[in-house]
Amino acid sequence: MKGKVRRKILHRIFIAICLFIALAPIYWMLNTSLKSEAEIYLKVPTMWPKAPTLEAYRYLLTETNFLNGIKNSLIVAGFVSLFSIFVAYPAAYVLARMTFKGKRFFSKTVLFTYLLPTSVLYIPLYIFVAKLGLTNTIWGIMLIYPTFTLPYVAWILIPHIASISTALEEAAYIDGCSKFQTMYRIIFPLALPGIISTTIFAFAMCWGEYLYALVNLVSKEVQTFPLILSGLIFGDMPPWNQLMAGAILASVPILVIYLLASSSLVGGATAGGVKE
Amino acid sequence: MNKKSRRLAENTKFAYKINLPLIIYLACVLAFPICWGIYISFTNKTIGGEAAFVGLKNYQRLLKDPEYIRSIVNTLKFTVITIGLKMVFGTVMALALNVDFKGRNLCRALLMIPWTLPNIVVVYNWRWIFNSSGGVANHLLKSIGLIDKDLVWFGTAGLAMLTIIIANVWRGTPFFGVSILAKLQTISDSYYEAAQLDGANAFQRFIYITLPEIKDVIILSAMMSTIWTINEFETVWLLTGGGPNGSTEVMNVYSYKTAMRSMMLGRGIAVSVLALPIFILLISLLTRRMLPEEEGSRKAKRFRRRSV
Repeated sequence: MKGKVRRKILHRIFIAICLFIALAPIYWMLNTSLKSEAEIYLKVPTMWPKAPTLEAYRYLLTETNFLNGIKNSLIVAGFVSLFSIFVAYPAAYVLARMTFKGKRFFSKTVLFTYLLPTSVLYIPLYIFVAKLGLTNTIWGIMLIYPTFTLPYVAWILIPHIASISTALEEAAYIDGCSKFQTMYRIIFPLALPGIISTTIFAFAMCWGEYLYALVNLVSKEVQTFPLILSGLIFGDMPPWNQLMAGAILASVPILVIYLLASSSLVGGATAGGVKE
Repeated sequence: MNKKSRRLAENTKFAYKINLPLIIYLACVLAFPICWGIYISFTNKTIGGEAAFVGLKNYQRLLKDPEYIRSIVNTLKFTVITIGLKMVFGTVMALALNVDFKGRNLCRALLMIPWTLPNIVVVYNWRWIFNSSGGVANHLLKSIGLIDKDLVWFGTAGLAMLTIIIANVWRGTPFFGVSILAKLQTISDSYYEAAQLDGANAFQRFIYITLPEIKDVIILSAMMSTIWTINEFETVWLLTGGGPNGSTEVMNVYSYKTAMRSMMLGRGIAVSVLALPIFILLISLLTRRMLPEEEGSRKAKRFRRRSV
């Protein structure tokens, strides 16, 4: 019995250490964002802001292009994730529900493109976008991003659709629904929880994307927030409080959605993970 | 039989018709640029310049370039170390979360946070923590007496590698943890009870019951994570820029510098093309494991039964 109690205590201590490792860096981000420029470069860093101030946030939002970067990121990620759901849903549907010639090859292709890393693609796509005259426009990256969100969405949605009972479909079929109607009017609403969580993940993938944006977007007006953030780094003493304020602001939407939905997201949807 | 084959033909027509937008998109924006890119790797194309066919010259140059060889060595070192650490930490995290306790769901959600944050945010956060002036890492190490002078993290070869490893492992561990945890929760308690009756201690129970059950999911996660880690760019580029003296320059940083800084697009693509066989090998191994039709497990049978 004594051993059980000791094990319990050790276990709780271990969990606490894990939580500390996972959350302390995030606390440091928040802490820094609330400090003044003078305080961040003190000889001894303060564990708690001496004089908490929102000055870094104010400067970031009013004196830099950060807000515009957030707007660009929102447009790109919003458009691409919705587009991906509508184009990739039929693929997930037929892979989960139907037998057809070439199914195996089709599913293999989807999985292959899902796993194909960006490093193989970024230079060819840079040339492709340049040839279309879309370099340095958000249209260019909106064209590129579905190359990773489409296969991701198609692949992740398959188990969500496969878990829906086939009884309703059979009933719809007997009532004379076409395949197309069954797919959109019967199954789509039933798969909606999975579709929403997948859309969120696709959104998150586009939201923080850096390499494609770095190669394709040059002007401040069209840059997404990751580039605006890295643009804040210059000289020997970058304004870390503003950078961390930007990091907090860019993380908040993702974290809120994630924590709200975590019960449904932690299970199946994360098993495939978010492609880095 | 006739009805069945007619239905198959109907299904096939429907499946391809409804997926036409996807197929056209992937053909135009994925397949075509890749093939074009592979062709360009045999030319001397530069940014803004015209391309002339040069055969294998890009590849020969690369293989003779010590900087390229070093970038491959760095990538291997970085990948092997981070994957190993993420596997161990992820397993331990999953085991700790597999115990029933109050607030477990909250803890699990909180421990997932590093994985959900945008990578760029994570990278800048570590860059600030390890900053030589005002960084908290130096302060903490000094206050517990481990060091007495500020370390220049990004300017010292070994330490720079350590920072990119920490940033990568910190963000990547929850992916392993949650994947392994999902598998752990499917192991029946009766196995452990039987083993306990037979007098197996905790360590034996882990080695003989838990490990064989979670082996597959660990391998799967490791392979996926390997693809992502070999592919790592921004963690390295934004933390150390590949320095000091190229000691953290991984493959992708080298290819970026070659293609975008030195403007040699052809040679930059050649770097990716040389890595392609490894990616294709990993991806086909993964495909074999992840496509249910090929494994004989329970899940596969369920999957098949459900498809009409």
